[in-house]
Amino acid sequence: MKYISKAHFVYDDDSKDIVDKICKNKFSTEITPIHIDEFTENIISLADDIKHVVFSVDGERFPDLLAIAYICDMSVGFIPIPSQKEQIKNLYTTSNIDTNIEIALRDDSKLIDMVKINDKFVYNQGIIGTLPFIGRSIKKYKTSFITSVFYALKKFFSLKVQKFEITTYNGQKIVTAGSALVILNHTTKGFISKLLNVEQSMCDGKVTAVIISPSSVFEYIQLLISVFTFSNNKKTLPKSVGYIQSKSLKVEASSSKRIVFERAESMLLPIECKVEKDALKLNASDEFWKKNEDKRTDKETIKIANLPDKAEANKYMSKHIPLFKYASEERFKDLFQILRVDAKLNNTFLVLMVLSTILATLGLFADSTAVIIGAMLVAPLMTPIVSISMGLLRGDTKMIKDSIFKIGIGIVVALIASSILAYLLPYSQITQEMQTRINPTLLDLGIAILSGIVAAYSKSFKEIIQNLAGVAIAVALVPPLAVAGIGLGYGEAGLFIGAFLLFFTNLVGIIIAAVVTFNMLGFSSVVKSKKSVAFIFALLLGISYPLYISYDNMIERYKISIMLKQHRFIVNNKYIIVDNANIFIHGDLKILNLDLLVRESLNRDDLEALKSDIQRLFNTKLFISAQMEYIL
Amino acid sequence: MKKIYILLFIISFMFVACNKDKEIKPSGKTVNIIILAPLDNKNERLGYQSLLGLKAAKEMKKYLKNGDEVVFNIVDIDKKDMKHTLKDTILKKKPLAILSFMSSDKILNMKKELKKYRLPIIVTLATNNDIVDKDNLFMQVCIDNHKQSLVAAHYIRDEKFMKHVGIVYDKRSIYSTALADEFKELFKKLGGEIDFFIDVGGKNGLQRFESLKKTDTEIIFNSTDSTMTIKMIKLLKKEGSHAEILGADGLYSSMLENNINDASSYDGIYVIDHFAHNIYPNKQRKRFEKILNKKGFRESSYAFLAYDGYQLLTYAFETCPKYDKECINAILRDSETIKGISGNFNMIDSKARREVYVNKIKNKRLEKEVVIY
Repeated sequence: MKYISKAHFVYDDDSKDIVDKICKNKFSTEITPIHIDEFTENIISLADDIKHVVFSVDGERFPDLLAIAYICDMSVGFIPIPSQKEQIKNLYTTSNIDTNIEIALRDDSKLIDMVKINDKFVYNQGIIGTLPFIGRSIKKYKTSFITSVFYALKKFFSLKVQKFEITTYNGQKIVTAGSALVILNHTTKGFISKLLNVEQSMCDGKVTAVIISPSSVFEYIQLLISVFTFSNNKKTLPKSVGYIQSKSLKVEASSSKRIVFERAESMLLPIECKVEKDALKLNASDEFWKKNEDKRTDKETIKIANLPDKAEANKYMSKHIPLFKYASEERFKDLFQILRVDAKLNNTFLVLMVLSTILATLGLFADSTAVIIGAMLVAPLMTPIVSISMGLLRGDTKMIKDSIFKIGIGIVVALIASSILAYLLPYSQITQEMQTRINPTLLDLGIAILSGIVAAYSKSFKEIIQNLAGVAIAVALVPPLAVAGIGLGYGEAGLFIGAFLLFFTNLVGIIIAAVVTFNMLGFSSVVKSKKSVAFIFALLLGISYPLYISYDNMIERYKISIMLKQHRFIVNNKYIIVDNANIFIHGDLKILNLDLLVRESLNRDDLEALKSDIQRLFNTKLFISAQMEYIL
Repeated sequence: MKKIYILLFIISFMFVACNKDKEIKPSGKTVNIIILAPLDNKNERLGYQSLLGLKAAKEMKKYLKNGDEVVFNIVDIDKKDMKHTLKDTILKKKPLAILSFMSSDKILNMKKELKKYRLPIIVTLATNNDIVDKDNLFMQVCIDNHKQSLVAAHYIRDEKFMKHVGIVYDKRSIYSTALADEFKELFKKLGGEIDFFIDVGGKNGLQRFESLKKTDTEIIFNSTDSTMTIKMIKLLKKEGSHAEILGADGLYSSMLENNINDASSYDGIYVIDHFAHNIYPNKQRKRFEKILNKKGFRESSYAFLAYDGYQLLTYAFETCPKYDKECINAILRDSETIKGISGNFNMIDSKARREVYVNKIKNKRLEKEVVIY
């Protein structure tokens, strides 16, 4: 192997320790050491006969240094010190200084291309727009780490999309949108390079523009995970990434005024990026040259399938990226069509509504859980609920109106059917099944919310059977509606209000949960309807007070039940154990059901005393019923 | 969406704001009461913790509904010139009532003296049955010995289904002897059998206890204090006896006061008390404990009962706006339901009708077994 006879060695404060080592190299190369500041300030004084320069400096200074080497027609070698890991990776070398000296002093330099932006060399990358957590490493911000993270987070949640107009060497004009456009040069191992599914070379004669266009903050997070966890050379491009490779690129942006480089240097837009072929002679490892083979072709590469087209780019312009992605009408045409049909009132819906209500009412009177579950399976309320949720999310007024009409008619029909039945049947008791439907618990609300999620989720995927029995049971709205109808039939306002409130709270809970689920699954439209937002708000407002009241009741009931279960009463020297306690609120009346264990029989006086003792524990009047069991 | 969150926040804030109690404006007038508290070294904890509870109760309710302030005139009953101080304070301050933090033995000793002043006396800690009498001047906020014995006897017979019980007491204490006697009678009535009934106080008390055969005894009803109890626990362990212990209401507080270093030895024994640690605290108890914890309070029934005593007094003062003595006395004797710190209570014939807790001691805490009303 032949070695260079004379070379400059440019070092900075971090690498001054290796000056002695390179000067005493075993390859008989005569070294002229020179500090980086002196090198950049006194180019004229550099010896004419030295045509090789070895750099051991921080990568941020490369653009200036390489420009000098280019002007002076010098070949270049690098000796990265162990702390300069990025350089080591980019040069496909090791942290061993001796090895790097050997490579840097070889007399076998090869030519590589350099990218010029507006006639200025760039070594690393230039960014137009915002790329939080990727664009510039956090440590580069000249503030504290916490401030930097805060700054990055702030940018993260205020990500905006802008329009980019890119014209290639062949004159092809591409209009798209994204949060950032990155011009890449010699960073095959950088974060942005990791996103691409092609091998890059410093000898390909092309400049690469990478466009990052996340459709949601959530998608950007996925991108970050992909960048930080996976290696280079993916088979496919990530969803929100596209790139263009050409001999030259002209770039314009709708919002950004500048392209920003390392060390916060910047240039005004528009820019023109060109490749200077064979611009620099470089000494590098064999591995480096394997990875940077001569791949020059005239063919341009344009991979923009994942990016918004011109029409969509205009819609996105200067908008904040939503938390969850938008969906275009075309992408889910079939689903929206089905939901529009589901929203319309038809005879089948009415018949099923009447039948399920009758079944539920009979089940409630018979106190039979099995019959009530049967009624839930037949109930057709799930379809208009899913439709109204989607309508609200996408601001589809017609879908909303149709669904409200369908649900409204369904409610009226159910109330009429159950009230007539209650009026005609010779029963007047409030069964256990009815009681549970006029006293909602926190669990009921949880079930309603989860039902909404399941309903929306199952509707979104073809693989899931659309009329899932479990969902129908979970979205159990007909039984409380039947109880409300029974209340009407009896003429009991308390029963009607209690059950209808539960029905309405569940209905709103399901709708809102479904709206949120659809939103998370990416069914939202680009333009949000203000009316829909107002409607959702009105619904929330509508249920907030009853929810507040019922929540208060629920907590009180729970506490009373738990408290009473450990209660004992001594009445007229008789010991009474409370085995179980349940409290139901029926209008103004609180009904306390007790299971008591006793050792002696209780007479009228004992019962009166017990009643007054229990009553003393509460601030409101109670209707107490009890079942006794004897302990032998 | 942001607007929705802001509006929801405003609505929730309004709910909270609406629920907040209205602040009472002070009228500038005062109502005096006398506090009788033991404050010498021996009984410091009893008096000190009760006073802490009382001060916390006042912090929570600074003024009566009409804006008048209740002023405490504290008399240390352990001081030699206590009688003279009490008389002077009563003449000078013209109090409407006396709140006593004294033990049963002390009150019974001073009963005659206190009666002279013809003032209603709220007793928070003394459980002896004889404290409340026909003169209608004494009111017990705590449970009395009869209720305590009733609870203990029924708990053993009807909850734990035990028949054989041993009873230990300390003859030197009126409280301990009276309670043991009462329990003995009641337990017999419930068909239980008394294996032994002995005085373990005094010189040879422990020897007497050691010499007993306890093979059939399922549980020991113990009305002695914590110092005596720890000695018996150690003896039972030494003997390998499986007999359980049910202690009376002062035992836990006495353990905290005198035997905190031996606290782990008390684990597993049952005690009757006015509260338990593992009950869901209501808002006022949370606030009360928060105030007390700042002042180095260790939970015992002393502070809780002081709070209840103050609640009863203020309730009576508020019900009788002109502070008519007859009216106050009548309300103190028979009240509506009052929200206490560990449950509601009301006064019937000068005695509190309230919940009694049967707890198990575990890690220096009272873990509720049952609540008996």
